[in-house]
Amino acid sequence: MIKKCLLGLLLTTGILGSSFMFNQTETAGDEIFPPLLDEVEPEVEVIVDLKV
Amino acid sequence: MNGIDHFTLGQRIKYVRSLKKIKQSGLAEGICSVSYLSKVENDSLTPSKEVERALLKRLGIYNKDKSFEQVLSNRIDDWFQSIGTRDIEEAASEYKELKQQLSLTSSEIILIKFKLFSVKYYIELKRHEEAYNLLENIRESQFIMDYPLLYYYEKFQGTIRYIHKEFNSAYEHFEAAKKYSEFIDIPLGEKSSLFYSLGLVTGKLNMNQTSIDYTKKALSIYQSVYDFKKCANCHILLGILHKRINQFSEAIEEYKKAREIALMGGYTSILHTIEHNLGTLYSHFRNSNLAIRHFKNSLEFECRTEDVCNTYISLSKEYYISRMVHEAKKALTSGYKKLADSDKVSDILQLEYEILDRLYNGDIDRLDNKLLKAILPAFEEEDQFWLLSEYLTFIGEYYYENGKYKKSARYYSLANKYLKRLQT
Repeated sequence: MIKKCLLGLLLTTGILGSSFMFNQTETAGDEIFPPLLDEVEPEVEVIVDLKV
Repeated sequence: MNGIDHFTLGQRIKYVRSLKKIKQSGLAEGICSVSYLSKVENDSLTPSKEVERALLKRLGIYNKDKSFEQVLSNRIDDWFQSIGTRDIEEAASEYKELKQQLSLTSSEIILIKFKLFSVKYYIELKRHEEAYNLLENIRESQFIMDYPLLYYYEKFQGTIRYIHKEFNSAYEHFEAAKKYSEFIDIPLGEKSSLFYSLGLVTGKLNMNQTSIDYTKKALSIYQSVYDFKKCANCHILLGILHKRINQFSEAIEEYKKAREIALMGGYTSILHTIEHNLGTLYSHFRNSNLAIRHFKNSLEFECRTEDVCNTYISLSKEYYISRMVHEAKKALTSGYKKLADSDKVSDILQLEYEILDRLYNGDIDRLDNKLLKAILPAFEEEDQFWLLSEYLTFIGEYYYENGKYKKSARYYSLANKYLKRLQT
């Protein structure tokens, strides 16, 4: 009975549908924002070849 | 602050006189009659230039001749312009000298200008508490500030509030600074900095289209002066914003542009940010393989400890989503080691580690009590509703899979409550 109620709740709230719900809204906030102020950057040579 | 309510001559005289506890008779003596002064203060009479000058001089807020005060004022201006562009030790030595010189003047306006400009100096030194206190100290003196000083007052207030993560308040101050900037000539660098600040804060407040507009304005100025690092930061911000409004190819384009610049300049912390954000973007697409690859790439680049910890958390979550619990635990442990080495990480970050650690080790029951008592208010206080709903769902899922449906329902329901708060 409880299980049925839970399923009902999940369906009505729209949570069910994926095992996890990370990054499912437009307001996801787990990106790193660039800094407001200048930060001291270590001067190093970067040799990488990254593909998106 | 709503609009620009600049103060009249009469108001300024009356305010400073009250501040210095000078009676009308004391101020007027030898200059004009008390009733004349009273009319000036009530703005029912405009004084002659000679009377105005004499009254302002007596109050210590006259600053129009080539006097010692003018020289000092110019020196403060030069010092202010140099902060951030030259050696911090030079700025510190000039700061000390200026402080000594200031003991020789009674000019209220110069003292306030110095205090206000010192805020930039303290921000540069990352002594944010002192910068905050200084701003509080001159809050009442807005009456005698002219437009340029009011502009910087609001800009610095916005900056300090942003650093304290008080984004609504920061936005109000930056907007006020923008209004003042329309009445004065501010240097191009200052204009771009203001647009960029507005882009960031509106981004934090999820005002995505407004943020895009401000960031593009800032970017166009940075491009015109070849400030590559700032251009890269603007591209990153645009990447975040385009992702939020589901313009994924535009988001990836922005990150590509940012990466091109960052590779050219060797900006490692920017490269870290780009790779991390690409990880979150692919996580959004539910492409865990690519997300994990980008998170791992980002850890190759040196950056702030807090950002490294964030990436380890994101990587750990992504492994967990992919049912790779062993790797999830390993990533969490690596992040926790970094966290332990630093004293500059937020409480929220520590709580995130705690939640994930308990979750991975099946030790949720003990967390259950703590969650409502400590974690919920801590996340709420920082408006971290999205994170909160993520973790509550995680826990709900955990209970669901373990057959504890009542508890599971409770957490799903709470998660839903916080999601709804995000939408309002």
